[in-house]
Amino acid sequence: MEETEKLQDSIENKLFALRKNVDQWLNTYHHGRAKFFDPNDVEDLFDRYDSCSRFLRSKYPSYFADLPVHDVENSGTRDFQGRGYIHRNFLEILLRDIDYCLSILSKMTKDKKSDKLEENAKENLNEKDSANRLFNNLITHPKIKQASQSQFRNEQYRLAVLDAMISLEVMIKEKAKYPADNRGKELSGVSLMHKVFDSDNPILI
Amino acid sequence: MQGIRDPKAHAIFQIRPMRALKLLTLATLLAELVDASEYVEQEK
Repeated sequence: MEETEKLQDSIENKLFALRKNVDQWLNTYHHGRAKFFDPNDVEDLFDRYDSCSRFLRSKYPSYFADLPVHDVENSGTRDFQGRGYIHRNFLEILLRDIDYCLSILSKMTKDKKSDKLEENAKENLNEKDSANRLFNNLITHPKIKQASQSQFRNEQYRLAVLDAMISLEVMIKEKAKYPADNRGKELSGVSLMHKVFDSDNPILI
Repeated sequence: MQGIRDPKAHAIFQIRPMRALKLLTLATLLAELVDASEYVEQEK
């Protein structure tokens, strides 16, 4: 996995964990009906989101430059032993902001996947183009060319090679005057090659 | 069926264009060597 992908993964995991925490405060604290929260309990959530969103804005400006910044406001009242309170609305906005970031991150992953597919397709096309251009320069033997050209042009590469090799075998058979085994059966394949190119008694030299 | 059919020899596999070109180049080279070779009469 590339470094940028690891970073993206790690920030995504942090946001998922943060989302879970925010969701817990909103939906379980006072049975999900709490409107006012102790800053001691929830301020940390906003700090964590702030660090994530700053990272996203600096690392992926094309995706996150317009990420909204919502300042959280303390009521400044004497609630919670003089610490004031943070209204539920701010937590709900925080949850929406986290979801927004997560949806953009997920879109980025999809974009990257489709970019990779496009890149592979281009590479394949380039490889086919190069191979087609080189074919005429490299495959100069008339019989090999005749046996493989049309299959090669039709992108039937396996068949092109197979036909070329069959043609080569036929050439060897013809030149070696169709060697046969002891029972008079015409040789082919491995046994043909052993017989024709026998190191002690070759038929073709 | 496997007794008469070698699955490895007949399995369907893909060859990339450049790999095919290399194999065809090898076939070309071998064909040229066959053309250049001489037949040696075998003793009966």
